Amino acid sequence: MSAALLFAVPALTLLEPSVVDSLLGDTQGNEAFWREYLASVDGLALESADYLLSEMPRLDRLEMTEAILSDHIFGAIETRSVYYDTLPDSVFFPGLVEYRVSEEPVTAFRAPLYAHWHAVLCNPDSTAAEVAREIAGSIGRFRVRRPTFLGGVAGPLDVLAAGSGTTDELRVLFGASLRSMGIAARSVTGYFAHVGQSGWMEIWDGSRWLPMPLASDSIPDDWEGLAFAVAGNEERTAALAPVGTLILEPARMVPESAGAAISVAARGMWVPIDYLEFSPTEDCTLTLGEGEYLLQLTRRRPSGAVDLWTDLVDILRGASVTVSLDQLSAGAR
Amino acid sequence: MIGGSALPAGPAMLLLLLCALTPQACRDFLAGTLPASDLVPAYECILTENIDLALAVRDSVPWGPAIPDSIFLRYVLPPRVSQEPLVDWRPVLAVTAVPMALGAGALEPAALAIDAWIDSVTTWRMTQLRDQSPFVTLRSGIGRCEELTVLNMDALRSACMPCRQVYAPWWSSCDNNHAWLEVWTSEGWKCVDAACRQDSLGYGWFTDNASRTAVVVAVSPDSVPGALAYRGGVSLLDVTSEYGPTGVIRVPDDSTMVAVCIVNYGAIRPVFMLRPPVRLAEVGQGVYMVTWGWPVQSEVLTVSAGDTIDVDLEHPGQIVGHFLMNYPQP
Repeated sequence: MSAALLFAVPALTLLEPSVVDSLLGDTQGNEAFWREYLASVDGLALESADYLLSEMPRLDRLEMTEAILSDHIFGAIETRSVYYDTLPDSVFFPGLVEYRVSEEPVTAFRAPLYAHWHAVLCNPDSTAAEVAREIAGSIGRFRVRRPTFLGGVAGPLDVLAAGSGTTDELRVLFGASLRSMGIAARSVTGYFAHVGQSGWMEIWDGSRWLPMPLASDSIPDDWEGLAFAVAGNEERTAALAPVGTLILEPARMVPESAGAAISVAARGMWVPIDYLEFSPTEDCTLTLGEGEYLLQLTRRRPSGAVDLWTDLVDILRGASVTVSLDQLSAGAR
Repeated sequence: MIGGSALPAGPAMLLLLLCALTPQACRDFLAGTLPASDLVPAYECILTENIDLALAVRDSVPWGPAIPDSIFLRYVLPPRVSQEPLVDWRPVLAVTAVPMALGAGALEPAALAIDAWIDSVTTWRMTQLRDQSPFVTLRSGIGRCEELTVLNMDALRSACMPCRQVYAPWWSSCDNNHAWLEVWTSEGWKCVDAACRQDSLGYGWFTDNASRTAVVVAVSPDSVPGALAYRGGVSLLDVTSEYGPTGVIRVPDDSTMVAVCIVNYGAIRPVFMLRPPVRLAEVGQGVYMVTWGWPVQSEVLTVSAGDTIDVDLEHPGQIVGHFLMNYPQP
């Protein structure tokens, strides 16, 4: 193999055999399929299979079939260059190989969605952003229905066939459609004052992640009231809205009994931003959108009773606020 | 008995009362209560087999004739419990559950035998957000409380034992929450844990927690008058008083939506909403924070057994300060 060829072949980032063994050891009943599949592919397909194996929830590993896995892996590989001259692996795997948007069932959807949108779109050969906007506009005409207690989140093909879905299901169809077309996409969770928790999709426009909310996502104009947004492990708040910093100095409490949360006011209640994970007994710095928050520090007593200390905190654009949780629990703040 | 003796609501349900319980009556009930996503041609075979087998087993077990039609429709017939995938569990589980139940002779020992069977083949473990099917739980032997409850209820229903899902949205006296099930008996609804072997119905490891928690709700798959809430096509029946002493929280107007909250995992969290026209709820003893309006107003309420406490919408309290959220000892 020449030096030039060696240089051209990217190093594979594969899972260690021990990691594969650990994951498949917890995949009762479907372990043989996975081992056979991993042995049957190589190169980028193997990297993609490894990526999905390591990222997907256990239930997906149990339910996965060859047809579904191949649909996502080879569908992503075949469409990787449709809208991008180059698509970094850091975007390709979570944006295009990934198949999940919410809690929908595991299905193969790429070929039928690709065919559907190529039949429907005015100009599928346009840019990623323009195609995404046209798909969003089309799904925006779907009927939005209220969630039901019985039955889970519908898969994208069922939503398409029904012409309706919950806000979550319409987002599932949108994300699946984008990926089927070859547009890298990821889901974002956000919290807003007045609105509470919401979500939307972002697409990779070739150089950056671009928010692409559906009409049904009910995102306020100009992201007004955005408190916090996160895509996977990446915080997105500062990219979308003016932010400030909240510095929390720790409380002297037994960590096991201590709890803390930051909530935003919405729909007649204080909605905790559960994606903000932090320990009240350790220093931490949080980036939050402009606005008012309810800071809560709790200590669970052995009896089961809870001491709850609260304070309202104003976060201003570009400013830092420091709160000593120790002083809060002592009543000194 | 709470909720179970209530009659089906609506014209379709009224019609059912005037007819013998036929496969068509069962089909009509399911058509009125299942989500639209279950009523598609792909699931036609599962639904038809589910109806035929449920009726056939009812005719073959000694306790079948004693089950009122309204209980059978709501708590034996449904092919799903929660958000799990719709699968053909009834014929599969009946193979084991029906002989086991017949061998036990009566409904209560039969329910305990099936609970012991599920306990012997499953273990509680936290899984993923998406509910797995009862087949996945059975095959893998692992599930969280709701998934174990689904499997246990499907096994009970396959042997024509009426049962319903029950849960505490959040515990008051510790972090976390729990889901379990109740079995309908001639003496009323009796609780059982989804995967813990028990000697009798009516208790579980969770009943101490339940006796001092904010609210316990049972799920009915249709609209039940007097329910705490009718949301997403099901009624949530307030069964808190079946588990411990209760008082009442009441909203003294017709229009304000009030969130009844406790502290769990470090945050003030709503355990339920009092949405008009529901204006009161039975709750366990203890301290609550109730919130409403914009800007968000709040008040701290202490509820003792037998109390009726009105939310003072005109004079809200302070949200900032120190609060002791206390609960009775078990």
